Amino acid sequence: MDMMAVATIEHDAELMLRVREGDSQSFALLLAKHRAPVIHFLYRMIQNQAVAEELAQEVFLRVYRSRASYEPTAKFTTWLFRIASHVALNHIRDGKHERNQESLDQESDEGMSRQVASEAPTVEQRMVREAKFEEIRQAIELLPAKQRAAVLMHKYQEMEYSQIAAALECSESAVKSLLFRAYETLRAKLAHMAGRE
Amino acid sequence: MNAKNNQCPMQNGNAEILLSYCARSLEPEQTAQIEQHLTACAECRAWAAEQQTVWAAMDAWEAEPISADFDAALFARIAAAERTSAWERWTSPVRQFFQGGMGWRPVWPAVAVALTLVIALSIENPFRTEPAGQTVKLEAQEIEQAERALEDLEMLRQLEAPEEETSL
Amino acid sequence: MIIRVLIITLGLAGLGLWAQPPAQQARALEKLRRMDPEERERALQDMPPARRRLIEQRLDRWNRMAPARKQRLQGSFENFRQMKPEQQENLRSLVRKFNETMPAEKRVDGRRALTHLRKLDPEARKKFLASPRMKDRFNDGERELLAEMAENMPD
Repeated sequence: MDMMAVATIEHDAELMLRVREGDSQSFALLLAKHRAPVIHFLYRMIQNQAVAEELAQEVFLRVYRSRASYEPTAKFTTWLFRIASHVALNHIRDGKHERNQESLDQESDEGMSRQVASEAPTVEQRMVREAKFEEIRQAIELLPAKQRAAVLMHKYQEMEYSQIAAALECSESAVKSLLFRAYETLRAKLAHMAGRE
Repeated sequence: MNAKNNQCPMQNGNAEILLSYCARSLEPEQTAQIEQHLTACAECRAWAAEQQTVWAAMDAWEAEPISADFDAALFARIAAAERTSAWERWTSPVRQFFQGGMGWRPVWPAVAVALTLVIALSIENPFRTEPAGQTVKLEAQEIEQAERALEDLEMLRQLEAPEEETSL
Repeated sequence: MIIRVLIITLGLAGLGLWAQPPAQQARALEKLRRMDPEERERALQDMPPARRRLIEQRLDRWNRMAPARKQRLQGSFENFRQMKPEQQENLRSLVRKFNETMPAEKRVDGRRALTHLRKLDPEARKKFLASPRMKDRFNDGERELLAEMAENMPD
């Protein structure tokens, strides 16, 4: 872990301790820093932006409500993603994880048009990219929820095994096993994309 | 098993080191060792290449933009939660009194507050209009009133069908 | 017994006033809206930052609203103001329940259903709520909540 990372940990924990003392400005700073990672994680878990934002609100509300009992025993990000994982896994477990077909179509269209907008590709290129995007999305969606959470934290948040283990409340070896199985599945589904545009 | 196999992460069940290599999270020394191994081991080379493909594919999955009013909605929920807990704290003795769980004494502060409010607020005519051109000043109590009005407006706005939002 | 009745009466009066007469709320809002930015900043400077930001964001949203929508919401707010304090509080708590118990994507449909329900008479409302489409989308508790909200919303 480099010095910059250590400084970041201390800074976040320090901000959270200030929130505990009633400084809401520090909460706004923490929110500004972690808003996007949390929402993006939840979006990739649930694959519905509106629900992801709703769940992210729940996450930050829980952070705020826990301020009085907050102790900087773990890295702030780990603690935050433990809450986020809980919220996402509970949401999926409770069977609320239904993608609304209407919003799915809308999301995919919007997401894909955003992806291609800046590069102005040909229709063919665009279709290839859309198909690729959909394939990746589906491959991740089909992973078991805990494997999905582990992969998303590993890939997009660049969290270490120990942090993912703390966030998912399991052992490091369990995380390695989760990740290995998840990547095996993804490799089987996505490896054919090698060299493809 | 030859010397090469002893070092092979795939052979000795240590594939996560390959994962870490692909994630570029290994120390330089370990990275050099794995790179050296990859030159000699086709199986690990293929594994690492597939893993890179998966990650490159995952990189293509961009996140969605976040709603502009995310923070506003969150702060509204926090403010509502705080108001609710403050209200519950304030009314707790009164509620306990009505539930018969308490004597008379703790109710007197609530009665005093109610009386003060009755007297203070009955002096002012609530339907008075502001004279035009006068410097606008806002008392702390008025800020809370405006805050409450904005909250109610926000509630009514949220209750409209989403189609109505296009006119925002 | 008389003292107890007196306390209950005073308590209720106090609670009614604590809820703040809507006319005062609307007037305070209008004053805040009419302030220039510096004045407003000074007026709000002692507030906790989170609440201050929320007020500013809501004011900004209100100011940017299209006139037609503003007028429509003003009408609803006016009608809401005419409701008794306990009816207002009841609606606030129903909306809180709606926001807390329904997932976001369902709330979008919920708002559409509410808009439709408010146009219907009681008999038609019952029919609509019992329709297969509504039963398919909302469970019993959610449909009951929507019915209660439609019943209690201002015109």
